Amino acid sequence: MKKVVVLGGGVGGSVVANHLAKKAKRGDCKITVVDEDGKHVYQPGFLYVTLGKQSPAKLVRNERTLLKRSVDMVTSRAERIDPGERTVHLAGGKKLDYDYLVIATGSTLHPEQVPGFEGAHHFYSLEGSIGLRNALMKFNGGDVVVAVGGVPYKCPPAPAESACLLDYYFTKRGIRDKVNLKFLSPLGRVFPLESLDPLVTEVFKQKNVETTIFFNIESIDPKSKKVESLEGETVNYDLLIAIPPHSGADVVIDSGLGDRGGWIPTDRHSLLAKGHGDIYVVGDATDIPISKAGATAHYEGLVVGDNIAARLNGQSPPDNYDGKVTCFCDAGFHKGIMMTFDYENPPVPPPLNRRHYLGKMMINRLYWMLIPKARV
Amino acid sequence: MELIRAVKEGEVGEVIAVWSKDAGSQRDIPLWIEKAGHELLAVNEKEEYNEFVIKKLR
Ligand SMILES: Cc1cc2nc3c(=O)[nH]c(=O)nc-3n(C[C@H](O)[C@H](O)[C@H](O)COP(=O)(O)OP(=O)(O)OC[C@H]3O[C@@H](n4cnc5c(N)ncnc54)[C@H](O)[C@@H]3O)c2cc1C
Repeated sequence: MKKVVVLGGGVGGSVVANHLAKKAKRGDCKITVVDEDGKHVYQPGFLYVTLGKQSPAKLVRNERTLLKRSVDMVTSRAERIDPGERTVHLAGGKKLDYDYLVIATGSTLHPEQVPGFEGAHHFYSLEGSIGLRNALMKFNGGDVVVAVGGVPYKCPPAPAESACLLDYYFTKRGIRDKVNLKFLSPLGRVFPLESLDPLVTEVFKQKNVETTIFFNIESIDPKSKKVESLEGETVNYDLLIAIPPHSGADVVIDSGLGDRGGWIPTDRHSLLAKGHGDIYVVGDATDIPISKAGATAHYEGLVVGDNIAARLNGQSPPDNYDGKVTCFCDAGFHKGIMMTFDYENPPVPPPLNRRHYLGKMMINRLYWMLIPKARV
Repeated sequence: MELIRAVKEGEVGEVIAVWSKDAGSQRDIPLWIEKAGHELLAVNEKEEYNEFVIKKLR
């Protein structure tokens, strides 16, 4: 029986394991998911934690309960991958052998890479979101700055979404006129997806969000409350929300499988790690220059599940990831936008409407039932 | 933009080549290099993409 080891029990790892468990013939393979803490976290909910609208505990589930019974689960940290020996070394000295390995270890946050980051808040972890929620509750006016500490970072629209939701939040609290909202974009436009940039620029104008382009955080001075960019500009803040720099997981870096940022060079259609015929990569861990998003990890996970199932069956794998990503953004005031795009087709500027806002709310509710279980 | 990541991770004095084929980056790359205070050494037009050669100055 072939052994399939999946590193990481987040979006991508769960979809691969459950989809493959459905597709493979019984007895063809043994699937083992390895996750560091055994917890699965629904990260799109972090934004709503910051606004005091979402209970943090509801965003975390035990990964075991999301996996099919036929899938084994090991709660341990993978420390090193040895592709020559086809072995994964776990913390505490245990080893797991594999025939196929799937790396779905997501991204790791590095606030320590920005000098002075302790002067900022963020919403890219559960703890960070709770801290930001508490700071926002106490905040009564001044300059609120949203900025990015390094590219690439996951969910590229999230900082813009946060600025829109802060406009809504301060309006509801009746203090919007006391708050100056500033959005510092790391790119040469306000929104990462180019075809949507005019729409988002217009939305920011209407919401009175001041924007600066080409601002990549270099350092923060918590004493004088200033943030400085790689490009040499300085902006003052009273409350700073900064996206921490990201890298691939330590296990990828320590195994020599990543590029300089720890992202794994990955074939964009087969999702095989380049130079390795038996290692697949899904989700944030790849170096493919498309949005690092749960939707990306989900669609990639289905393709990798199909590829491994076909190979176990002696068939040629479909290798057909086409770069598909679908993404819902909340623009505040119960309006949203939905975008779908792939390698060949950039997103078509969508209308801003209530239906897409409701779409986002529906996914937030149905996520646990549908996505990690690979039911869609 | 991949270029920002490459420049941030590079050493001062290092020469970095970036290949780009999308229209947005063709416009943004020279603008960013100027704003960030680096040097654009060359733009080499290839059949499928343009190659931007940049020296990290600070
Ligand atoms: C604020 C915010 C909002 C977002 N909004 C959206 C959205 O609206 N739509 C969307 O599509 N995406 C969104 N995302 C992005 C999305 O959450 C991620 O892109 C997605 O979770 C990536 O999936 P993944 O499987 O690659 O990694 P993750 O889901 O992050 O899972 C990685 C797993 O690997 C485990 N792991 C790491 N290293 C090891 C190791 N050495 N050993 C064992 N286990 C390990 C971790 O514990 C974790 O469980 C958002 C993210 C944030 C932060």
